[in-house]
Amino acid sequence: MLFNSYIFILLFIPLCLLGYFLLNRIKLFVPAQFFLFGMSLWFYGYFNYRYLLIIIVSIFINYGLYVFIGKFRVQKKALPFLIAGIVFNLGILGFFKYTDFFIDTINHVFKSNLPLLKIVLPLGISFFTFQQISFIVDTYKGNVGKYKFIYYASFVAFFPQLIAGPIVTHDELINQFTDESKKRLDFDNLTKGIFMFTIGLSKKVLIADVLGAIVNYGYVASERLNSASAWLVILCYTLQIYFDFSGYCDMAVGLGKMFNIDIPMNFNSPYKSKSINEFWDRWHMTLTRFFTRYIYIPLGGNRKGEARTYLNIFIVFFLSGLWHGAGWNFILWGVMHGIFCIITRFIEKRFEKIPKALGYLGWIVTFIFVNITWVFFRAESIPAALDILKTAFSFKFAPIDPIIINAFRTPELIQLMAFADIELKFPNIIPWGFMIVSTVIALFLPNSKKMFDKFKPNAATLLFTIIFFVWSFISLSGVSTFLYFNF
Amino acid sequence: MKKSKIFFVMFISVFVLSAILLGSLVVYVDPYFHYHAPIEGKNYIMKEQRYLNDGIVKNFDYNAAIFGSSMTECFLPSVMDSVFGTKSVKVPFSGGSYKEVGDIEKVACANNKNLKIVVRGLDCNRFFNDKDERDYEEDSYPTYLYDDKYLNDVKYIFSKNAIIDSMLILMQRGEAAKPSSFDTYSNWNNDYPFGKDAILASYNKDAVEVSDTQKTLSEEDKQTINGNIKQNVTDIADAYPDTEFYIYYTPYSIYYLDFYKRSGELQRQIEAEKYITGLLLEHENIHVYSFYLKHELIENPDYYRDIAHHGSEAGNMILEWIYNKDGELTLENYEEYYDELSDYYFSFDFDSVF
Repeated sequence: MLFNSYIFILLFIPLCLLGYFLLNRIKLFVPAQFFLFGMSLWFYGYFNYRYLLIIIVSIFINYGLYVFIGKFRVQKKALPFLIAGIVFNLGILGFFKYTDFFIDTINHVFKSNLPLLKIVLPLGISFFTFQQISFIVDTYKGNVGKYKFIYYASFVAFFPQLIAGPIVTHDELINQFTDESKKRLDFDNLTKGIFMFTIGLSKKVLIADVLGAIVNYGYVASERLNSASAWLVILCYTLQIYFDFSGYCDMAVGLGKMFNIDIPMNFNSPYKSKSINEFWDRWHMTLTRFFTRYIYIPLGGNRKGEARTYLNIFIVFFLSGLWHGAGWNFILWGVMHGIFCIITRFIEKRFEKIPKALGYLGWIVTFIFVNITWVFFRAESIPAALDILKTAFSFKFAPIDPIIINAFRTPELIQLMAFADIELKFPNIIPWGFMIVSTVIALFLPNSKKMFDKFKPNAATLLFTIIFFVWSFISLSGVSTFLYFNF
Repeated sequence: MKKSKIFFVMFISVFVLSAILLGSLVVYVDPYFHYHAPIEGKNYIMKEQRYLNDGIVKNFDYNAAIFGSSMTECFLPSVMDSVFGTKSVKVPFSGGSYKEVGDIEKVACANNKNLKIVVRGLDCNRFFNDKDERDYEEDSYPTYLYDDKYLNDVKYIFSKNAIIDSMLILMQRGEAAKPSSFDTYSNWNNDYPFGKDAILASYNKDAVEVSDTQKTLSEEDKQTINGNIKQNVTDIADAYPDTEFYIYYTPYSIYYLDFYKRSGELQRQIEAEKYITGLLLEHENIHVYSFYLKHELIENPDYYRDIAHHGSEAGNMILEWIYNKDGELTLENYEEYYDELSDYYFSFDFDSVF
């Protein structure tokens, strides 16, 4: 199930809230938790019921390891079980996510012809395996309290964060589940949650999905682009991935809040960053936190000299690239970010204080770098990415492809402009307006976290919430322009 | 009452109210004809084929229909009606495969017992498609409009496209201010230039990969064709014996034949068409037409906007020919026809048309 679907909004979430708080109201705390777990499984199984087996087995085995490791008084003796746990989790991830990539790479290198297994990647597997690895590692370190199975299971499966993060840690969530004061319906939290969900939904549906149509077209029909169109498509993807992913995480935070559960923020206006290091402190923050805690620091972090620090950074980004997708383009994307982080760190270390002017330059360089590297992230392959970049840098400008222009023209914008024949007077007002507004939101406006923190239920926020919620709701489906049709 | 409680109650009330209002509006106007035929006296916005066609074939009053790909978009049902004495609708799918067109034809036959005459264009560039080929992204297809489930209609009644269209139709403003008809539905006849220059703007003969030998029809091709034609054409005719099916091969311009000849595909195309004609003629209620020896059409670029697509004028000619059984292939004449066709195009001086 997707957050941005009718079934989720009209059926799932009302049912889930009602059931959870009713059961809790009559003090059936554990059944309420089972109910939440069950609903989460429905949410997950709705995509493909076969995935359920994977997540259930994974939860059972990890919980079993947790119980087992907890029985050892001497930490060292539990080490084989820690290793077994990590191997198990990475094994699942490796099998489902990387088998075909591995086979494909072997075929390339050895010119062999092994058949691909065409395994369908279970959604969210990258997230819940990482979450459980962190749980097992913390168990081994003795940082984990006593958890009942159902609380652990509903932590892993908790639907707001199941599919695309944030990567929440056990201590963040389970302690909230067991807190009895959080089991009563709280209208302050409920409205705050609705407000945040609306922000996220609007970012996803009203902005990211419109940009997404353009990006899809641009990457499929890349041979039809000129430099102007190529740059536009590149920028559209930069904005799309931010609005899509951060919108999704905002919805997760909002949903959590409706259940009185605080879920950590995952984005903090990343495109405002003045350096690549800052970018990674603001982009997908819970992933950066995971890599820092469980890879970078165990490798020695920055405590083993400068060269070793750089190597550690490189390893983290290499793995991060691989985690983001099973393909060489993702690895290259990670490696480029890693190298740029190392260079930035190298330079920064040699300055006492970064002059202010350099800050602006830093922003420009960072933003351009991020834009270009996203091309590798989005393209099907490295050659496909290079194709787009070649077009962009050939500087052969021509008018933007009318198919792209038209994709910006959503039905409500067309009607809005038709009121005073504005489009006749300013033909490209919709695409320009759309790009400027979404860029301004990403670069200059307070982000959703700030809006969330400041939220007060009043007439203004009510009006805002209603307008954007209804607008997004009627934008969930509609005529998808069959972009690839040209007779 | 707590401020947040008021907020919540207001939010839910306004949301539920708007959903009921907007949903009822769409059900009442029904811009995609999912529930009923258009409201009497209102112009509708006839634009998005894949959203409208299912409703058209299910809910309109008609006894004849034109099916096909973009090659049928410029047909004028009003001309069909005056020639055949019918009440017809046009149901084109731009880029539609045999499967997609066949599926809508089935729905039409199943839902309209009055449907007596079907005119269908078979695209010659899709002879070798798999029987299940459908060229679009599966998840962006509005399948919720093609079934009878009520629950998934939320995707229709709460979509802003349908809501805005409903408002415009109700007010008869914007695109709904113009009268709508099946003649204008998907008809681009007046939107593009026609003629040799227009065709050559999108066809560069020198860019074609030239083949010195002509491919021929293989056994494998025949198997593919058998599947494609049976499932998507002849099975439908067999299921509805009281309906007459007029099937014609979409007549491309001489420039498309130039392309086939250059790329070594012409022989295979002709053999395939002949083979398909043989398959079709086994069915009594199927009438087959080929217009590739109508030189006044094929060799006159003024009827075409590109190498394939002809406009309304050619559509009118086709309807007249079909009605007059001109260009009809029968078990008696078809082999001779294809011999003649082959002789003609293999001795044709293609350079003369450039």
